[in-house]
Amino acid sequence: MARPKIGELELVSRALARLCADPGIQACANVPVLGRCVDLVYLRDSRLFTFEFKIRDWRRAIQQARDHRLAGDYAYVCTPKRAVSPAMRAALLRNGIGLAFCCDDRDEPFEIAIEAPKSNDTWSVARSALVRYITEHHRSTL
Amino acid sequence: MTTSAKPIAGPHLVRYGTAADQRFLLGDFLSTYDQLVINATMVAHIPGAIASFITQRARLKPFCVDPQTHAFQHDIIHLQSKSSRKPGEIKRSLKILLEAYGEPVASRVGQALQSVLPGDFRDSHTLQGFCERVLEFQLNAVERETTRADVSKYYRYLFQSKRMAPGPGFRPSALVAPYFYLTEATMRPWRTVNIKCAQLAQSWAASKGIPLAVQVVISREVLRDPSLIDDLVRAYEVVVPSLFLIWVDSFSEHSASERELRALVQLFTGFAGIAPVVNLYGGFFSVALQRLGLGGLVGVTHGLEYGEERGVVPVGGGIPVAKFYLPALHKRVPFRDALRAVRALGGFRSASAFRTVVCDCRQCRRVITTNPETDFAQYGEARSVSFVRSGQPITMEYPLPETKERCAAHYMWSKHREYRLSDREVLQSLSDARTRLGRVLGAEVAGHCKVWERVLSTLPGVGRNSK
Repeated sequence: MARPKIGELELVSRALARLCADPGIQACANVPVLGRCVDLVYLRDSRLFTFEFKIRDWRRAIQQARDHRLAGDYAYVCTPKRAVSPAMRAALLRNGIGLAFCCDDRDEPFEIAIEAPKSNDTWSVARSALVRYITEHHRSTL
Repeated sequence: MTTSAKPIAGPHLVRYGTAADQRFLLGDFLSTYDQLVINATMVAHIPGAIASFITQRARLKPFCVDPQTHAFQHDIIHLQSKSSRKPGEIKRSLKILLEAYGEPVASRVGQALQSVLPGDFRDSHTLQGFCERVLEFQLNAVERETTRADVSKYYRYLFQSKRMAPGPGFRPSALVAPYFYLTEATMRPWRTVNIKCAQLAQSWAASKGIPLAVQVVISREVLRDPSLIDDLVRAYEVVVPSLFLIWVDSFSEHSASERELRALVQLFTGFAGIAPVVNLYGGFFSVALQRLGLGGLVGVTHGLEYGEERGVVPVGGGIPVAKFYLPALHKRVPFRDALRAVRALGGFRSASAFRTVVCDCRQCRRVITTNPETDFAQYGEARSVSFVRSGQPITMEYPLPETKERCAAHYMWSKHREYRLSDREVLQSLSDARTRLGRVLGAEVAGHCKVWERVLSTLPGVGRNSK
């Protein structure tokens, strides 16, 4: 029997709940960053991770995640587990974006398929604002 | 028959969009542009404020009034109030215009709540009366306000104390003939009405000694057919106004193809064979044409917000994002793209580097003082607002009022500079932008520079002027 389809909102919500169970992590969903709304951001060991969730249209996700690099340290596109085409891999690497798969059966909410390199685009002003936002709005539910 | 008076005071025209625009049209900004274009709906909405703006605060800056007669040919829904208190009622400012313009629009639109059709203008007496009332409304837009009971004493005092002189400054520099929107499908019948209006208006304007401007508003698809453009121009050869005002519906020079831009030049050049041409909604491509002496353009109008292109019917507002006018690209871009561009240009190295490679306008000198990387944030400051859309929680950033003000002031100073560029600087700036920003911002943001440069540099006559 086919499993019922899960929407992006549900994926974000599940990931947020699991991240927030870890006391070393501060996380937040729907975070405004330079005119974009980032699906999920978390802060761990002074490192900022951003996630753009997409069930389909990975190209659009990369475009959005590219902007997250201006504020975060590591930017990821997050999808349900899938095959990674050479075109998708090349586009992720070219733009300095990592790929994570949503994951329900591990300790971590994500399975990292492609590690994100540290952003060399980060703008200190936007990063500080993002850290401030997460600190003020940290919560475990949407 | 045309008058010897100049229809516009110079190439830089600015549209007075809303009352909030005023602060960027006055004070230090007053000398940055040559002429105002005011919508008739604004005159109808706040006549006293417009009159006092023109006569006092704008120190009799030359102006003309766009009569917006095309509004009455569209679906009536665009004219109706969206307010919950007056659902379905015609908006107050349009009601005033309907009353002022009279038949046939007063009964057809105002009473029957139907759009006007070309057939409504068949009767020559009706048409003549309509034309005269539309022109009279513009002619007296300011003057009649100075004679109103509550302010006439004040104006009398200003005249007697010689603080102000009544006269030509109270009147528009040109009168605009009634006009209607032309699409490929509706071209013939509406063009006939437009030309009749222009002919009737020509003699009326001449009798008042005021130049006549003929406004031609077309849909973008007309640009796809060069023969349609030629037909249109030929049809207007029977009128000889002092000026043509051209408006292509929702035409963004930034996203236009090379073919469309060449067609736009063809359109301008065609009308310029009859009378000088002003682009009513234009960006730097049109400014460049004017600076290079091409296309017969004598002026380009822009507004404060989204003012370099405009749809004939109001379009949805969308979420206002802080946009920074990037002088290198001659384009308003989202703050994050501006940030990337400034960094790529080397503008964050120091305040003086910012002034050299990004912008040296008065506003930027005020904002970028010590550390450009942090100072620049003032052009993007926003507050976050959370809401639910289609069942999904969303948090968006809205620019702060002071962010919008900084961006608007910077925009006005940047436009002022553009209208004074030499032809060498015009082409050089496009070539520089393409080389330095193409890879950083991609074709969506920077691609227009290449297209503009290619079109401009291959037009006959480029380089003959050395301003």
